[in-house]
Amino acid sequence: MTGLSSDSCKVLAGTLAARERGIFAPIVVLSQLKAVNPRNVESTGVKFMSVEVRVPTILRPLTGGAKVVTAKGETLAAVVADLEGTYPGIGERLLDDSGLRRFVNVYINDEDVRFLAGLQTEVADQDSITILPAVAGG
Amino acid sequence: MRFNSLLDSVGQTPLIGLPTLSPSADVRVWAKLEDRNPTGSIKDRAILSMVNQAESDGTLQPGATLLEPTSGNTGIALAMIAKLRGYQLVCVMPENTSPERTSLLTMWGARIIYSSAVGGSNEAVRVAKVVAAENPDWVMLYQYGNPANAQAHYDTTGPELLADLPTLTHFVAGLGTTGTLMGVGRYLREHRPEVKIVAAEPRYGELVYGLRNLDEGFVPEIYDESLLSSRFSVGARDAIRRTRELMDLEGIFAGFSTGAILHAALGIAEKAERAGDRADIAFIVCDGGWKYLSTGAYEGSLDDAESALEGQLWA
Repeated sequence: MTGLSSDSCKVLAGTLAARERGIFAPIVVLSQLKAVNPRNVESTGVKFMSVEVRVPTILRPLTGGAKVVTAKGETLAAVVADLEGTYPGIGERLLDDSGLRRFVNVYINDEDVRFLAGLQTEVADQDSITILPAVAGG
Repeated sequence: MRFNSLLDSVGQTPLIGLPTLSPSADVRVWAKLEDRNPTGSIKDRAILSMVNQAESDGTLQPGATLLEPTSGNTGIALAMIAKLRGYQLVCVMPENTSPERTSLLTMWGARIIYSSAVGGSNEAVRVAKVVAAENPDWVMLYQYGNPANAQAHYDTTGPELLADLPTLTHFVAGLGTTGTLMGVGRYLREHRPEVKIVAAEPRYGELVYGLRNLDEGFVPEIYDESLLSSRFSVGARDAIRRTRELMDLEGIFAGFSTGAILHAALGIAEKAERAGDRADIAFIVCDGGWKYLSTGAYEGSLDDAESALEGQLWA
């Protein structure tokens, strides 16, 4: 999937609209993970999006070695919470009390979520999420 | 154009329109040819600035030995300048880099310490810091944390872009040390705050991300996220495809990092065209393709080319 697909443009458009309205999404922190776990509210009948998540080598011990896993959630925070439900321990590797950990980069359809709405970025069905550790270039 | 010495000719690179790849007369894409610098890459700007700064503040004394972690272009630029100015150079370079880079560094007289392929440039930075501690008299200009890196682009690349293209709407460059984006970004924020600053970051094969733990991750000290508008991750396949398009359709022979940057630039162009917006999108051609010919990724199927770059630091 290319980084600048119409899907990611839609996400970007939504984010920009939110920014223009002056609404900066609050950061969901690790301690709130359980509260937003979609598994806790699935019985309400809300339909959750299914997305593909690419897991870096370093986190694969937590996913039983799986390179690509699927998760549900309408926002990145919900997706992370869903992952935590399936693969306990992954949440704290990705988040700390200030949000996304400094050396963790998350991309939705190849766009860095820090420039979208962070953990509040909306996720659409069939989106591709990539998690990578921060590395140098040059 | 006449210059008194080679180093006086750094910068002032051409900005080239791309009539075939640009979607329309209202949405234009422009390539800044940084391969036209003396050692063939954009790094000549940053390194000259860092060396000049270190000489003027006394950090760098005659005959000193320089040490620098680099995946290639920085080392090559530094090796040339070190030779002209009478310094020794030791580079720490990941072993998964093309052989041409080793040849060029050796030709300019640099010594190379290879760091493990696993962990890519992060590992080169880590090893360089160990070597620096063991050799306190060596001078590490340290491109990742040296403000003179970004300053070079604030002083030269940014003003050149705006002078050549006053209608600029987007600037797209690669994210390695972040120096280009930080310097140009800061200049444009001051002079044209509405211009979008877009980063294209290479997404390498898994080997490069093979850190022992997430705390080994690395964010360059000079990086200031607030200067960027967006940041895209581009894999080898898209980078190769765009590098080939640039050659086939516009005649520009560039390295694969340029292909990754072009991929982001063309995504923006397509979006502007769909929205009916006017756009002048300038992107950086970091270097020519010469140093990467041995990878074989300029010919054959995309699948084969992608496999050829797997595990390599191709940007």
